[in-house]
Amino acid sequence: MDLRPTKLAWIDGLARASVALRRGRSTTAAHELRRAALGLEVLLRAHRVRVLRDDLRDLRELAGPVRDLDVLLAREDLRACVAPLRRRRASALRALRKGLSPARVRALVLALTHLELDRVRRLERWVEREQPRLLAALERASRPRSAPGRLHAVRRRARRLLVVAQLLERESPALRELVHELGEWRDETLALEFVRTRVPSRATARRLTAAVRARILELRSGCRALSLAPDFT
Amino acid sequence: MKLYVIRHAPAAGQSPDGSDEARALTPEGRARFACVVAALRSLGVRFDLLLHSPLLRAVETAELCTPLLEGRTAVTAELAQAPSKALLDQLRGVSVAVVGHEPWQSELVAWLVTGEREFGPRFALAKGAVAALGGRAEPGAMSLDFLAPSELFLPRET
Repeated sequence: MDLRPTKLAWIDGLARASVALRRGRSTTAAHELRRAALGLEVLLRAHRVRVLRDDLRDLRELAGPVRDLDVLLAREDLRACVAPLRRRRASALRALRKGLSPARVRALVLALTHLELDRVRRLERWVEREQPRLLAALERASRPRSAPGRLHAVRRRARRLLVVAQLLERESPALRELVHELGEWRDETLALEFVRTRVPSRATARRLTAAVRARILELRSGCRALSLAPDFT
Repeated sequence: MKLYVIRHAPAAGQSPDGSDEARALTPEGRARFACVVAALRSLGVRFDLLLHSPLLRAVETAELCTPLLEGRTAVTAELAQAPSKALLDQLRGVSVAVVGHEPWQSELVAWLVTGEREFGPRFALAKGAVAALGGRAEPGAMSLDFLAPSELFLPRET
């Protein structure tokens, strides 16, 4: 298995998305930037390389609000809030563009290109180490009174594990489903947080609160089931 | 601020693709620089910011420095060229390390200590050498604590 083409594709995606964002073509570029940065960050983590991870995390954190606002803009139940959402997105996009200076991206691309990140055995060992950690996080998140923040920890670990599992072609439907469900929960939580800042949307807030609570309960039982019968890779 | 100016460890003369930026550290270079890091660690040196050039030999040297890291790392193209005001603007923290190349690293030391970049050759750094400076990161505002070649950090032979 050759990991180099995937690494180079992610680097290429990062560079292309940065150019597209700077030129104003940002419909999917912020999402592509985040995906590529996450893939590369996980690759560095699995190879136990510490440098460059902060640079990639910075880019993901800058692109995050743009992606989140795109998700909110696509929601039917937030149609009435399109104008303020668009204003927030424009502001998030300005911050992202400011952080994406050509020199910064070029330096990051150059540094990543020549670094050897193609050891399959490292990835396999990382999966072996990471699975029990995800199990422990699932167990903690499945407790009846666990803070919803625990689900964020599960989500981060599960997303990283999914990236590597996909690379190793050992992706399980259970893990993919878990990541999807956690993503939906996060999007609903984002929508709820936004609605709470808006006075005229109390009905939407009530509905979203109920939806988020129901989903948290669902996720807790899902975490419990998966922690008892793991099927990750 | 404490500033540690580090030149990359010894690297191969040629990379597999023939490009200068892909030259990797040699195994001996790695082993030697690991001794430098161990010695700095025993002296209590820690970094809250580690800046490095994007060239592979600097990236690998920065990676070897991570046992000394208590903060974040950042790659910057400013360390693969002559020192500039833009580089000085990035030096923020209590204890900062910069990993780069000659002749620019010695120019940086000269600029910060004397205010003049052309005195660089007087502060020449061999591969894997470390210069420690203290003071404000402005031209002529820092003092040189030490400038040590990597040999100084190697274990003594008995």
